[in-house]
Amino acid sequence: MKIQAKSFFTVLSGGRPTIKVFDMPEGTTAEEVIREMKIDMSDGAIILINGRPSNEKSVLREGDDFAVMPPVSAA
Amino acid sequence: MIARDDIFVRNIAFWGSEQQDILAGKSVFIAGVGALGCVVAEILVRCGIGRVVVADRGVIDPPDLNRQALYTVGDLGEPKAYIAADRLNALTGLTEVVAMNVSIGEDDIAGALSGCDGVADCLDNFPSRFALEDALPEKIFMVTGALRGDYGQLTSIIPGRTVRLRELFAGFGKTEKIVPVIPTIVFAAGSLMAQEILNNLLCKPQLAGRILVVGMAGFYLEHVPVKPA
Repeated sequence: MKIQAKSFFTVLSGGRPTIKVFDMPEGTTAEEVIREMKIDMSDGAIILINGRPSNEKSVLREGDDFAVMPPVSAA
Repeated sequence: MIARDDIFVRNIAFWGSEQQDILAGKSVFIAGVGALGCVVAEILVRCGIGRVVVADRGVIDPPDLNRQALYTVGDLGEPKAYIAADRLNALTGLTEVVAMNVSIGEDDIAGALSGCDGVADCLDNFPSRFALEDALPEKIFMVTGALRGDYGQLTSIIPGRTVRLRELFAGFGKTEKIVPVIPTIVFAAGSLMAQEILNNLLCKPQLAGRILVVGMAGFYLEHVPVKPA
């Protein structure tokens, strides 16, 4: 199944978001896509599937829009 | 006293007397007068908001001076809420400024929030932000902003309508790390937050259901759609 994944972690270092389309097996979780994208999750991430907050164990479906964002809290 | 229309002549030239009058009747609670809070508060006063409440229990430390626009080296060790209120009072003399030396999440702010039209979440950690969101009265909007480095994220929280911070940041706690933050993103994100507060006060929020992502070095801006979980 095709999953479009977008990471905003690259904006933290002055870049643009990374957008990739992955061909993954049925039952793929958010955690597995994050691993494919080689995102450093040591500080966690906001995970959005079709715009809805999700978690690492959420299972993806064909055509899902998947986005990960850094969880920032400073001011 | 200088006439209101003299001070706000350029605001009125842009948005008209009617909007200036509407803003003069509004009250905004600013949670945290650190980096974002200072910028948001100053802009709202210069816009002519009738009343702002600045709430913070912190004192001014040397690391604050790279980005907290209302403070100087002469203020070190002083309470932020009172110094911020003094500076804000000196800007136009037309906004009622209320200082609250309180800690969000520890002190009761329910009464102060209920007297406001909107809230600016300018806090610096997830637990305090969650406590503020929990205390938010129904039908009062909150504009939230958060930073790291030269990166920022902003959104409008409207109870019962938009995603909640507790959903977006589920499981995140307080970090003990020194988080990098540079001045350019503070002023840019603070200005965008102030604009979104005006948008909400005028019932035209732009970030209800969207996160605005800002990256300064690459002049990057994007809206990311977000729905309740």
